[in-house]
Amino acid sequence: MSPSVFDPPEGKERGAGGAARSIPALAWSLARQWVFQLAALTAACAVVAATIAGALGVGDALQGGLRALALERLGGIVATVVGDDFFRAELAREVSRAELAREVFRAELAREVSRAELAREVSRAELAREVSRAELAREVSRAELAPASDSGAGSAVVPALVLEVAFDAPGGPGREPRSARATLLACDDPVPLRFDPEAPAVGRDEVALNEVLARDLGIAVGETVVLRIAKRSDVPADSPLGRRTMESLGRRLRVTALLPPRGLGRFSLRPAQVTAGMALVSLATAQEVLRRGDVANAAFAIGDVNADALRRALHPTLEDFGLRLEDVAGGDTEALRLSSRRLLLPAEIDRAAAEVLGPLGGKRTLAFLVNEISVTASEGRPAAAIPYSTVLALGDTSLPVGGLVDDQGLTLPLPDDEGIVIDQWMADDFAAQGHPVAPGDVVDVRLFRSETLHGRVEEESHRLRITAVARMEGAAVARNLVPEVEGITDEKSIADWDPPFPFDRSTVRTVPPHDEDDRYWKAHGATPKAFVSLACGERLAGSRFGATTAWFVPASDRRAEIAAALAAAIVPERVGLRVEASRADALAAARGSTPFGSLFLALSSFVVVAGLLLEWLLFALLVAARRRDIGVLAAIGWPAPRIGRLLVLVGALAAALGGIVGTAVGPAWARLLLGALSSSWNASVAAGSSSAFGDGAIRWASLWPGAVAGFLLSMAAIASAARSAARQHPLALLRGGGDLAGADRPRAGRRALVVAILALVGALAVAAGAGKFEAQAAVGMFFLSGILALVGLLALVRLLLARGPARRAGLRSLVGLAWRGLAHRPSRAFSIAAIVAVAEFLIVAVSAFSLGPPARPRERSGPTGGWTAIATFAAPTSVDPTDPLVAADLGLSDAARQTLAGVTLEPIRASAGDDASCTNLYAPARPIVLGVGPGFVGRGGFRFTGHAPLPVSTDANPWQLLGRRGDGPIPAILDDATARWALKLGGVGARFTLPDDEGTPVPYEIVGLLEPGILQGWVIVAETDFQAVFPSRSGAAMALVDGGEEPPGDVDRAVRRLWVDAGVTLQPTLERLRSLSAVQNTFLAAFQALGTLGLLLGTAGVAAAQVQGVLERIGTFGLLGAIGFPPGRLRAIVLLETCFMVGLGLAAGALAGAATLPAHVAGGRAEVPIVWIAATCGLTLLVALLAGLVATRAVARLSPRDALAARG
Amino acid sequence: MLDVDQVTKAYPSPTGPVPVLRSIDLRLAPGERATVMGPSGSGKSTLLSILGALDEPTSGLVRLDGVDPFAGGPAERASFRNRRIGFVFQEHHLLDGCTALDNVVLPALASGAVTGAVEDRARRLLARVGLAARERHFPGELSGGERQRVAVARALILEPRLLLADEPTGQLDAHAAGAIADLLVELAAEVAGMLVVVTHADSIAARVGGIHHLVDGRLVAAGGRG
Repeated sequence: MSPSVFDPPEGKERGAGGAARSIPALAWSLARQWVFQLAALTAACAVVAATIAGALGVGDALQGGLRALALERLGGIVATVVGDDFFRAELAREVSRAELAREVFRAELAREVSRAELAREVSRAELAREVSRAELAREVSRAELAPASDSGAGSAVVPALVLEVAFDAPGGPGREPRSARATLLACDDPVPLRFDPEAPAVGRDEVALNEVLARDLGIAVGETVVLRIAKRSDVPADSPLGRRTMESLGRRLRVTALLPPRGLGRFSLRPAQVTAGMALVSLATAQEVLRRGDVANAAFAIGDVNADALRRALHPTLEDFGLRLEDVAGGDTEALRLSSRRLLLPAEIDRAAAEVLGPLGGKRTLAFLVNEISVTASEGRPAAAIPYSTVLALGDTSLPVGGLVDDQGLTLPLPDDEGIVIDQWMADDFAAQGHPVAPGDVVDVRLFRSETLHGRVEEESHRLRITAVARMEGAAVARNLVPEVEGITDEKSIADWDPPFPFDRSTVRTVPPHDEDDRYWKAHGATPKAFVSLACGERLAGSRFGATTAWFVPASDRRAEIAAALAAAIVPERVGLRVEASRADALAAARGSTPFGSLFLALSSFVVVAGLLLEWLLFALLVAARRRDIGVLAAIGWPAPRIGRLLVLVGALAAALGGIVGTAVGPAWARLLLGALSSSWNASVAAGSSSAFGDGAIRWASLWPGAVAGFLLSMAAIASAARSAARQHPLALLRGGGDLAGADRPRAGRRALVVAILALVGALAVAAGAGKFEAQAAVGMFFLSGILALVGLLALVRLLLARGPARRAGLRSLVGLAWRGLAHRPSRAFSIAAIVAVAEFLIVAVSAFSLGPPARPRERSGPTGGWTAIATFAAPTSVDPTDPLVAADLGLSDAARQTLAGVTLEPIRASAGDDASCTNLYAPARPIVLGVGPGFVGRGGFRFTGHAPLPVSTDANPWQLLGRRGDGPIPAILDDATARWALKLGGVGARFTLPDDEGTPVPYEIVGLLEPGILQGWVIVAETDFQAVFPSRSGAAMALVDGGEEPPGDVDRAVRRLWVDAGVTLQPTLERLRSLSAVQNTFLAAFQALGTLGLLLGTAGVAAAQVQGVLERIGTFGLLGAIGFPPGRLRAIVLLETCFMVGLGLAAGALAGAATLPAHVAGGRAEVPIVWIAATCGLTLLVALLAGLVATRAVARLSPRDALAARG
Repeated sequence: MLDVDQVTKAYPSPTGPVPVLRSIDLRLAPGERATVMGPSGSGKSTLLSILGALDEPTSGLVRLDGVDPFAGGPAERASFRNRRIGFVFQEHHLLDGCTALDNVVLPALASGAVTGAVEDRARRLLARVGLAARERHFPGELSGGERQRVAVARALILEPRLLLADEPTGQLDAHAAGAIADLLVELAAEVAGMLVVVTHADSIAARVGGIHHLVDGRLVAAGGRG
């Protein structure tokens, strides 16, 4: 007989003082008696608490890891001045320490003053005055002291060059030549940047490589590498005068150090957990390679400073904006000319010039090149043409460098918007060609469009009416009206031109006696031969890059003053000179990353549910074992709530202890999960990202919510079990009957039947409806269908157990006996089956999300879009792969040309920004925008999860939804996961804004969402929209490659050769897909691991229930032994019961899980791990059977007589 | 034939073995009955357990039809009990999850499946004990006397050579107890060869006959036969 509740604990005599005088005292007494059963319950509570605490710990550690990594990458850098173009390195040096310190104090003072003002408004006037007076006095004195104080003394601004470059490692004996892309940091003295470990010193022509880059290149210290920097065209490549072919600037450097994967070795201004290749050189070395003098494109602020203070302390000059304000001589006058090395002045410069130079008499001009001005043959006059002339658009014919005058010397009126003034030379030339012209005649002006169309120049023609002929003086002979253009204005003869556009030399007259063009060039250079109004000029030659080539101001001895005023009037951010709060941005990105804590909590919810079921089961078993004691309490008049409270108190001890133990174990569990995640991420997603997963440090502050939640949930499970035990009839308890009274069985059965019918019908309905949804939604619907199926099947199990075997069914076999044993305690059997089912469902359903490579990778409607590789460039390129001239320029071999003829290449424009794909653990603040051309749109491809309604004319190609119509938001297409999860934008029709290069928010609207594929992480818009939003960006940053039927190796070589100067990197699309899929698969692996843990819990539950059940029924087994059941058959009964419980659970879980599969299988990329599922099922059954065997061993050892005595 | 020869049983204790049964001799021929009486703690149930091969004697020999149940291992002993012994306990020891009929056929499951013949026999037995109409009832739906009748039917299902009853009427009123005793005697005569009943009740002993008393661990026949 087991001891009674009223018996003293073993080894203790109940003295006078030991009587249980209160419920807590009695609970304590019971707990001491039930110590072993409570230990099992405590363990289950600990598992629940550890699971919750572990999930929270994962989130905390990951966020800590990302934060630490973000700061490690930046060293001491707090803010950064970033230039789209180069600026003077001196700009950084000019930001003095004292000025920075003053700015910091000014900001503090402003904050304090505003606080005082607020106080004055809300407090009594007198008191507020006193407060503000005192604070102001204090702050003023602090501010006065500021420059001399220590604060800000550690501040500095360090000029640097940060460039995307390529390194070549020369081949040698037994070594293939290698190339790799890298971020180059050129900095004279990196020590103040406070990286840990301290950066090594690098001298002239020396380089320090980080270990990633050294490994990629196969280079060791002491060897040499070739640094290649793509040469930038000052003039935008998308304009006719911009260079579209590329060349790179190179320098051989000696490797003097390898940077470890810490501190500077991880340097990056963009938050990303992967350590990419980087190299450190001295600023002087990089400047020598660039051949642009003492320039920088970044300046790092370190120390006690912030971005606002740096912004205010920054005083760029015109030179930093790429501008020149210089004295120029006109015909016989002098003037100041404002021009840009980019040829065209951006709109912001025009605005500032109008503000500063306008009042000084400044005039705006637009000079442009026309390919031909011609007159057509008429009335016996032959056709005549003059090639390659400069035309000047002006707003006033009285320019500071000289006006336009007629042959009388009178100032000519400005031509109207359809008119043109030609100079006397042109009029004479037409006459010499037999076609004299006069005002009123029309000329055809042929020129290139002001912007290239998809990287190609195109000609267009305009007909203008001659309004006047200008005498060759003043503006007509002012050579400085046209800014310098490399390869044109710097050539001595027109025959020497080396323009970036198709140049038809045959039309240029350079051979005497017809060398008119050359003679003009030698006499007047690029001086305009014709003049139009600004409106006309803007129509002909204005572009997104600007509509001004120069401003002219009457000569002044205040040039420096004007230049300073002009520079001060320009808003730096609007011309690509930004101050970024690097440190704050990095911390925000780390904070805003995927909420891994919540994610893992959600993933762990199934384990928590399984754990809670186990707790319920264990507590129910405990109570069942003591039900006669409880029956005695009930029989002597304890009300059910009081019995319930007593039991809850006993359980609370286990829950509290389990909560404490679980919370203590939580960090270890979190570290285990992090370790697994880190190694999986490192191996499958991105090598070198393990640091992002933290160093295992988990703050206790992040764990206590888990402890509280674990305790509360455990208490809920225990209270439920206690309540159901306390509500049993005293007689049923005293008799030790089953856990479901006979009278309750039909009711429980009916309830289960209703639930089963509703859930299964719901599952079928949802599954049937899922087919009408797009793929991603269908997956969700099938998952919901699976959950409903699980509920329905478990309800059927419950029904089966509640009904038990039919009374009419005779007992014929051991199977029947085992089934009767289970049905006698249906709640217990059901809870075990439910634990197993939930875990098995999780394993099956989640494993179906596992992604493999596409079955047909070349299929255009698949995740690769039929593309075979993605080429990315270190510097944007405008090399047109389809242009035969390019092939000739690059010296491509015939074989390469032949290969490229069979290859489809689609250049794509890209903005600067953050990787928003799932491989980046940081929150993307500014996702990369891609501009795709008509070639890409026309080809179509990829599969959409949803899109806006298609007009009939779009031929069912949703890509044609791209392209802004009117003033609405820019239509954008994104990967579904990127839109919904990474950027949290929503579905089709959702509107959002992204900053352009000036930081101005631009509205976008999602018109299509893609299934997971290679385009994940990017916001895709039409090329035209891209150019409108990012006008200063020329060329393609990447390209998609479809190798067609060509051998992949040949394609690889040909493409690399084609874009070698752009620092091209090729990634097969399948590789990118694998990397992206690996993220999902990694999380799924974690899911599966948690599912398996749930299954283990279920198995532990089965084992515990088996042992408890056997011990509880030891009398029954004794009886069976007494009537002659041999031990083998007793074991068989227990094993059969186990098979029923676990088998029912596994079947329900697996069947319900299978209901989620159709969507994945239809998708073609699902990899259902049948072996894994079978293995987990088999293992669970095996462990449960072993537990049953262990339990029956105890029975076999007991003599039937003792066993019978126990039953009594 | 039941042959009990010089059987002793002692239980270990901190102060040395405590003898419960001393040199018990008992012989029953087929059709014979015996009643064992004695005060509580005199060793009646222990003796019955040894006769039913549920407990081993410390010394001495037990043979049923010449077979020593303690010569083999637990499996052989279980088979012995199953084939040759029928037990009726003071507590009815029915399985709560099984109907009356299921409980009766239970011994047949110890060595194989329940055949139709076994089930028919079980029905006949239930009818014989007056429970034909209650065969589909669970123990919780039966009275104490009815449960004990089911236990009697179960004890006889495999037609044992020896029917043992340990205080079979201990929890029943006088009328029900008498009815059970009569049933045991009748069925033992019909189905089993021999019957041994342990009881406190003189009325039961009188109905069964063959009265023996256990005094100081020794079995003494009421008529002076030892």
